[in-house]
Amino acid sequence: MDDVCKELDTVVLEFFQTLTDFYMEQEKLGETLKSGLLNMSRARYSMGTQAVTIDKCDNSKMVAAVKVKVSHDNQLTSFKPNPDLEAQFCEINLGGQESNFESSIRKRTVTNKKNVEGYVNGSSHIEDIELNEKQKKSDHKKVVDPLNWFGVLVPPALRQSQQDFKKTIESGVNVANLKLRLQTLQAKYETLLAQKKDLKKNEK
Amino acid sequence: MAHTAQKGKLIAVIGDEDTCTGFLLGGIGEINKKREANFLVVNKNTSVMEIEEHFREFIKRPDIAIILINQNVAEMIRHVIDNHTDPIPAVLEIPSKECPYDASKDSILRRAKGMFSAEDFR
Repeated sequence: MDDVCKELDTVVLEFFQTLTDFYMEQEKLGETLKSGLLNMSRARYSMGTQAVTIDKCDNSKMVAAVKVKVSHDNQLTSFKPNPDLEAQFCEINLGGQESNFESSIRKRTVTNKKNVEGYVNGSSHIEDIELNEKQKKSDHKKVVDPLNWFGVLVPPALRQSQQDFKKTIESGVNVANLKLRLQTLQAKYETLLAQKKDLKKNEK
Repeated sequence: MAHTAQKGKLIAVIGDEDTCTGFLLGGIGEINKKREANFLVVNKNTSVMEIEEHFREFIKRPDIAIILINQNVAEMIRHVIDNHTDPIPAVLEIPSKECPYDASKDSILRRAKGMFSAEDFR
């Protein structure tokens, strides 16, 4: 009985500590979100109201630059996906095959041109290899910086807004972890409480 | 399964235009091969049914780990959020431009509030 009570106390204390952390992290999330929205409004002021809207987001090439790893104990960690690894997955897809096909056609024409010139220069083979390497590197860069959707020379306010939203995403992952922890502690507490009630009944 | 684990999971957003634009700027947006997006822009023309449908879709998708939802939008589909008790995807209620975050409305915290009663401490 004493052991169960002690464990209950530990769980309750941990629960309140997690709850405090949760409130703090949620406040941090709110602050960064507010700052991000404010900077977005500043960017709109300098770029025009129609310059920063959801319509400007490029739907055809949208690939997540931030993803979340889920461990076996439901612990979440954010990470930037490796473009090389992503490209390996893309090569399996039909989309990847299409791009390879296109590049091979382009390469063929370039090779033909280079061959003609190569007879004169005698350096076509080396240039071909360099070109292939460059093409491979460009194929691997699948994740595009979302800032480019809104133009090449974007105001600093929009860059700051992006940084704020990145911080918000980090805070969001932390809040999600704390929420999951709260859920686990809640379940543990309920189990222990049921145990305690059973023990009390048996004592009577 | 291993494929999804290697690739990582996504963060989905349901919210007003500015919130969605901001999070897409942050780099969470993705449109998969089936042309399914991981975000929903809620405006005055979006019906509650539509929000509910998208939320249920996000819950079912195995490639989503976190769903961020504006608290004022979450209020519209509170019954659906309350019924979702699985740990993954985790549902996070966030403030919007118009409405600040209110902890007393949050599903998980309301559940936690009901945990303790005076009887238990006797």
